[in-house]
Amino acid sequence: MNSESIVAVENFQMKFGKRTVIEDLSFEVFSGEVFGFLGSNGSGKTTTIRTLLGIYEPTRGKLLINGKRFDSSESAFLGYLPEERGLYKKESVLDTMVYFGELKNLSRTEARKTSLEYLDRVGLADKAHKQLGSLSGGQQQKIQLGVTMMNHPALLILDEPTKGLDPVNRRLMVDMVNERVKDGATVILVTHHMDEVERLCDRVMLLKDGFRRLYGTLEEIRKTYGGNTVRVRFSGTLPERTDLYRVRSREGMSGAELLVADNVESEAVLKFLANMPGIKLASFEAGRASLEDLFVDIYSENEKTSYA
Amino acid sequence: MHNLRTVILFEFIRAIKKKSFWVSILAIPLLVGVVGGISFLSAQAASNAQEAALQAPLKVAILDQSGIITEVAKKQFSISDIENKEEGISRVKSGVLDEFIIYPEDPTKEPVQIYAKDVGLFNNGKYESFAQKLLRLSAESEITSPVRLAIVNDSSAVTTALITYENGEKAKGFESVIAPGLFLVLFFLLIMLMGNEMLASTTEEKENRVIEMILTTVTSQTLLFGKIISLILLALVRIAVMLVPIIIGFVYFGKGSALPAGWLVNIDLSPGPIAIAAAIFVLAFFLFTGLLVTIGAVMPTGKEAARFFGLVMFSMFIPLYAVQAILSDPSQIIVKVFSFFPTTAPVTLLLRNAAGNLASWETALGLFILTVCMMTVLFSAARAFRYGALEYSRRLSFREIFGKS
Repeated sequence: MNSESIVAVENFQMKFGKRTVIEDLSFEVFSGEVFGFLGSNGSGKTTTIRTLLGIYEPTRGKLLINGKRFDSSESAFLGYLPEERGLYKKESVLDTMVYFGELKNLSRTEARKTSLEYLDRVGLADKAHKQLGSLSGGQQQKIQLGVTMMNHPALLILDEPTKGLDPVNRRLMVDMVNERVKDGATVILVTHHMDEVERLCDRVMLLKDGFRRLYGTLEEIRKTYGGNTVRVRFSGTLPERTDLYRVRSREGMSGAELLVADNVESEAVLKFLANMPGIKLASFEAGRASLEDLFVDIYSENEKTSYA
Repeated sequence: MHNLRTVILFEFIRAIKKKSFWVSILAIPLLVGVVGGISFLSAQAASNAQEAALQAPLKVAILDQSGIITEVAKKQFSISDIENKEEGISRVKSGVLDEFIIYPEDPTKEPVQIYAKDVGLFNNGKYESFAQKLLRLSAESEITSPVRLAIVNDSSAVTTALITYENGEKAKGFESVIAPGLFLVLFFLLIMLMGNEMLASTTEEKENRVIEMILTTVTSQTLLFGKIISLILLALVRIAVMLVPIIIGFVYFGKGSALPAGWLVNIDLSPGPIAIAAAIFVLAFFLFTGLLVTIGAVMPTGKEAARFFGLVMFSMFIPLYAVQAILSDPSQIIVKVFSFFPTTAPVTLLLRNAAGNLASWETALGLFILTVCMMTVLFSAARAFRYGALEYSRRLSFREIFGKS
């Protein structure tokens, strides 16, 4: 990853009639990084991507790829896997892949060769001449991902690439994305799987109500928004909130996750609880808020997964 | 049948609550009523006009080289004699005479020549009927030769050759209708055969959810025009498949067919009407393709789009209900309206152009309206396609499509 910006979005606003989908959004994606684009369903991720790719015109703002507005003549540069899956169901697998390869400026021969290699890789070589509609959902999804990556694009935009895949195929897909990253591709990854984000992404952005709510490296986000957590098992009565912590969640009658106050060490919480009358600690585990916790908290209007 | 009542109620109520249900059940009878009324009034008006024209006494002169026409018959129909062919034709051209008939020495061997004032393609037949009737009546009065006998007994023994004049110029006959009229047939066939394909070309991609990937590799306009051009190519293939056997059949078996010899040679290939018909045809084809593609792009499924497809087809072919008025009395208001209303203009203008009753200013105005509408529709289609093609589960309103920046 380097600091050269490959995608730059500035003050983007999008309205559909009177409905405002994106209020004011700015972000950058750097060359060679995997950028996690997060947000709940309907938060405006797909609209942002469609506008970035020139499918929609923005109401306001600049959405640039390589310093200029993307247009379809640069399709060789891009691989896009949309959220809505679909291919020509009545056509054969190979014909469809070759058609898309040609749309992405590959020669017919090149497109055919690449398609057959890919089908072999994902174990679908025997399906090359079958109708797409006769394949299972997961198999169709593999074909679609193959269509997305067959031209070895410098920028990959993958909207939930592993949605609906079994664990084996999910891993295969993640491996293939990683291979592209190793080859220097930049990836914008839309996903609801926080484990994928933690495993793949260098930086993330979380969108809510048309605004950017989280933005930065995973470490920066955890540091800024996450805070320390402590998981305890106990008997007795645990106070809901003190100067040192607040209870984030209860786990039955004898367990809880605590959010530690800013500038307070976890050890201080341990010392406090250990000395507190009416409570007996059975276990104590210090940690940090997970990305999933952050996501859930922000969408539950808690703003910061921290003590405040 | 557990829960049958619940299912029936649910299905019935959800269907009956839809606006589109009421629109579809009310719109069609309403339109049929309107069109039925229009066609009835048009037919009546045209029929009255024709009847009046047919009953009006004709000013007729003859040059009888056969000697068959009797003085009694001439007197009965107030017919005068003219000894000079050129003079007779000149009087027809100047409007002094309605009809000038030359009976040859043997009418069973040579055609009876008729020169007459043009009263429209479908009314000119009265001149031939009159010439035949006059000859037969005269021959009947005194059957003294095999020729006279043949005239009386064999209705096909005498042939006629009619030339009509309009404003002093030779008017165009049925031969002139064929070439420009072919464009109407072609248009009708293409829309009927290709309409569903036009509609499906966008709804199918939408239902397959494939459009979004394609739109990152080509613009919506390129995709749209690619589709339209491929539809035209498909149409040409269809036309070829339909025409080739006919042409082969005509070439190889034409001699034995019912078509008169030299039929093809007689077809009027004047470039003017053909060029106008071609221009109307091209504009109309693009207009309707754009319209159908727009419907396909706006509607979430092929099933929903099909409802509107029926309405478009209906609005396009309404003029056929008033065909009599369009061909024989183009001055009627309904004909003018049909000529310049975008969806009815193509069929009406093609019909009128073929019939030769389309004035220059009407041609210009009609082509202008079709051009503007075609461009507007294609622009709308591209926009609807760009936004509507990505709406997989709901119908976009026009405000949403055109309200987007």
